Amino acid sequence: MPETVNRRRIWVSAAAIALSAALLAVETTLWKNKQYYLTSVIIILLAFAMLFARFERRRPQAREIVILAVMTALAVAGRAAFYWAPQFKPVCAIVIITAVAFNAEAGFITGAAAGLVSNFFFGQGPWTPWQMLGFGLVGFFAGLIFYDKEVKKLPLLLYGFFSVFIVYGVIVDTGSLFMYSQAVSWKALLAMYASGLVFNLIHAAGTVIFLWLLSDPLLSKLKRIKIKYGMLR
Amino acid sequence: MNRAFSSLHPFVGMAYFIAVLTLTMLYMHPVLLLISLLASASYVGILKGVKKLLKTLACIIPFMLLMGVFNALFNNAGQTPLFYLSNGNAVTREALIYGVFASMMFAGVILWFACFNEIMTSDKLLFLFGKFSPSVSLLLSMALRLVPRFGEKIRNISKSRAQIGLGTESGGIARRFSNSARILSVAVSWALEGSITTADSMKSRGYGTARRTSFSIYRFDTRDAAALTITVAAAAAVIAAVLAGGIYARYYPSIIISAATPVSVCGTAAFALLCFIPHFTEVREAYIWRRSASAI
Amino acid sequence: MAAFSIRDLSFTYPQEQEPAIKNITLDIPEGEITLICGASGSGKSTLLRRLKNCLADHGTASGSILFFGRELSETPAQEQAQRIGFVFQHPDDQIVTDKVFHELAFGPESLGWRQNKMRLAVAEAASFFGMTNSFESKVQSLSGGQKQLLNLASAVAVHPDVLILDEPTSQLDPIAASDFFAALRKLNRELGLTVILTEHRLEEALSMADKLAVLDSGRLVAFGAPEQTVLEIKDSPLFESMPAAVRIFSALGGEGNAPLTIGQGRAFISGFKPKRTLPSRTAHKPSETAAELKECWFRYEKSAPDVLCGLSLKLHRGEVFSLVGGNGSGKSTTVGILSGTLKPYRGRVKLNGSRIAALPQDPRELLARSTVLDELKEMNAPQERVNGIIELMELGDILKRHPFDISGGEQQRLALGKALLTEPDVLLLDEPTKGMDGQMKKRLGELVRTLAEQGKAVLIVSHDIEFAARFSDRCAMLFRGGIVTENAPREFFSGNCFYTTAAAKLSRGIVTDAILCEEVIECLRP
Repeated sequence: MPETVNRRRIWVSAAAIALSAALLAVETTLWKNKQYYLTSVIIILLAFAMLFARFERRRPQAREIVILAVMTALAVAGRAAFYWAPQFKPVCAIVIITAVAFNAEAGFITGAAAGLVSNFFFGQGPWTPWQMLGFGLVGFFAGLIFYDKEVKKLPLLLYGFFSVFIVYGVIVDTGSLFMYSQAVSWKALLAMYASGLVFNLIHAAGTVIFLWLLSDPLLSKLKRIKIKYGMLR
Repeated sequence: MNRAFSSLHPFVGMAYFIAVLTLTMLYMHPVLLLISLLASASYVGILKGVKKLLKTLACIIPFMLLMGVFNALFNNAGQTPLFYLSNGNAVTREALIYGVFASMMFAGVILWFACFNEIMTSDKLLFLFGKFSPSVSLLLSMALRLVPRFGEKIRNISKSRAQIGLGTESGGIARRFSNSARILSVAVSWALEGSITTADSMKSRGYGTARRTSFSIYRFDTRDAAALTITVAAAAAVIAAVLAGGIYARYYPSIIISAATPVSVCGTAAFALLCFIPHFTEVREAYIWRRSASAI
Repeated sequence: MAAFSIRDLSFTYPQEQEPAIKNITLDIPEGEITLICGASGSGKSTLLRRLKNCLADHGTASGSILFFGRELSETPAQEQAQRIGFVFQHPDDQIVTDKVFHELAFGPESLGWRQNKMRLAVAEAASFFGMTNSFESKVQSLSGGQKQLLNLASAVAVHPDVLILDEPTSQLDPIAASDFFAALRKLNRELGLTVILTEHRLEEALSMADKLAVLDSGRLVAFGAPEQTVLEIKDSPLFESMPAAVRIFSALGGEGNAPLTIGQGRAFISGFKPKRTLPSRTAHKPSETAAELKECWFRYEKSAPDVLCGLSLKLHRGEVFSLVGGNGSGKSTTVGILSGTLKPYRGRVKLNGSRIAALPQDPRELLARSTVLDELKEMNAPQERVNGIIELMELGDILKRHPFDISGGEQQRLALGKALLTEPDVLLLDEPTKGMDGQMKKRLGELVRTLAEQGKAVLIVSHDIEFAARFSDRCAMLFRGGIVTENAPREFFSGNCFYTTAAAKLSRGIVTDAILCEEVIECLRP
């Protein structure tokens, strides 16, 4: 089976996530329920459930699972290798590369799996779902934008910077705010982002550096393996 | 270590942690928070020793302080201003008190997660995951095995390269950096090349030919049924007490915390029971063991 | 009934002119062990993989394969997965999951077995292979031999009728290989499992085989009971890889069934009287010392036991020195100390200004570029030296290929070439014959001799006694971190009782001091 993108599947998944976000907004503002953290985590878990179920239903082949496992392990090993440098991690770069080579779904699965598996080593906590979602979405959008296209380096690096700074940063910081406090307001949110600014900048810059170093060799290796597996003809 | 509580079926363990974590986060009632904090801290002490507990607490305390400050600064919903900030915002008594309880809640959650990490090992989580999504569970299991192998391979490669003068210690910064990147690149080649055999091995063993089932080394026995029943019953009792209006806490605009009534006492007792199930299990198991050992 | 009836099977890879296997007709008998041998690239693996549809390579095939009387292609995939077990060469890569029990359960899970059936199958397999203690262990905590046994157990857990093994012991040390063969024999003898395997370790595998099939350049050249079949190929280069007993039997004009084991071989030559004695080898002329270890002590962690305990050794220019010994005797650590990646906490390493280069067990660890030529260029050596290495290592035809697409032997020569471009005075080879067939070993041995003649000091650490006996000037046995005995190969191996070559074991007490087949033959021939 050639690796074709099922556009519809991807859009349905994207819509599911968008809907989840909308639900979160309605729930917290309209119903004045202050359980931001629990509600949002339940919605995130539902979104994961839908995406994983999709992956499951199409019966992924052995080689897909193996390659995604390799990329997940690489991301986790990379995170572990740079444990001494806070936020300077190759995880996002590897997730983005996986998405570019395979597709949005592969990117999401690798990102989410990397978030979960790395916390088997660093400890699970209330942050786990947020990290999984952050890594997953960075990969998901990379797949939507770059998969199956001629990839130039500069746009990829730019994407790496902004996806990490905006997508991952905002998701994880929002998660922290929900964890810390039920007093959620725009002001508090801004304060949270401001306090995380430096970390997110380092993370984004690190991602750019890793993408710059790794994207060519890894993409050519992944292409080679696709040929070997008969995924490209 | 195979503790009494960790020998329960993964499903029971998961249900327990979901119940205790949700209830800890759900109602910001001071008494419940205190119980949860005491139970989680003491269970961390039982599982990992007092030294580790103190270490964990030392890590949490700065975050608790930060949270207190954060709440005080960004929450001016209370009605009793203590003082005003330069930007005109008030720091209220309510916000300060709320901050104290919020950080207690946070500490409880972190400590419960510390227990979770001891009890819910990767095996158990993969088992539960496998029930829901066998493919993703398999992917996670493969990744878990690959991570240490990657580390080992990277060490071997860098040693081997150093032995023919391509070490990361020699040469200028640029050469060192590119040598490091090469090492990673070799490791990726190695892993991808190996993945072909892995995929063959999976196909050869029937992967994809049938609907996957999931092997379990766990058995759901009467002890699990009992633990699950107590967990569900206790959680239900807490929720019932809340719904009946017995347990209640409000911080804004003014602080109202439910007083002790028969309903609230029952609910609180149920919550305490829930929180201390692991402790009971440990003590009971130790007692049974000692009795049976003395009978020998 | 034949487990497999192969009729006129040919197969050609895409973009290749020459078929990889040609017109093979072969009946694999049920309940027996069939050994398929042939040089690397003779089509053994290609043939084995055709016996299970999900593993068959892409390409053009003709002919037919019957599996228990039915077309294999008409046998459903699920049935094939259950009835045909397959064990691959690399112990690590074919393991899928992270825990022993999970690995054993992988087959049953994939076939969709129910929990009760699965529990029984996994329990039986674990008990049969003695894995109850490691049942919940991480796979990574097992040794290579244990991992390969786990792969065997996992394949057997779904109750197959046929077990196919593609060079299963090529990555194992001799003791682990023996254990593996013992388990395999037990499966065949006790459960009647049909076994098909390819192997380079013929000394052991041949004696347990019921049938031998020999492949040469994709053709089946001989098939039948091993005692007779081995003699049919005595003019082929492959014959050099046959067990010592067979070669001596053939060279001495033995008639009837060839002896396959050392014991049978001894029985055969006991009727002979030595006609000649071996010429005494020219005493080794001590040359300049290139590197020296003086009473080196080493441990990996402060609280760990010592790996090297006062190890002393000297490497001379122009000499091949072999360090043999079992697992954990400190062989790889010695390489690490000499190459400078490890530092002894006591003792001295004297290099006298010698440059050292080491070749790792897995040569792919040194291959990081996208073509063979780029690999050599990575070393920043002048062009004429690169050309010299290309010639010496015979890499000329594959310069444009990807280093991961060339054969194992070529990968090793490429890695060796890279190491030689650093112009080392001392060359350290860690387990260089791992996974090699007889021809490749011979080629490597000759290359090593050439390098020694060029004045390099070569240290080989290995389990491979036969290789050490044939190609070294000096051998030493390492045991618990120190050298037990050290001598020229003949004195060394004829003095050892267990740890010696097959020819020496076979001729002990009959021919004095013979350690190689040729020597035994030379002394005994009329």
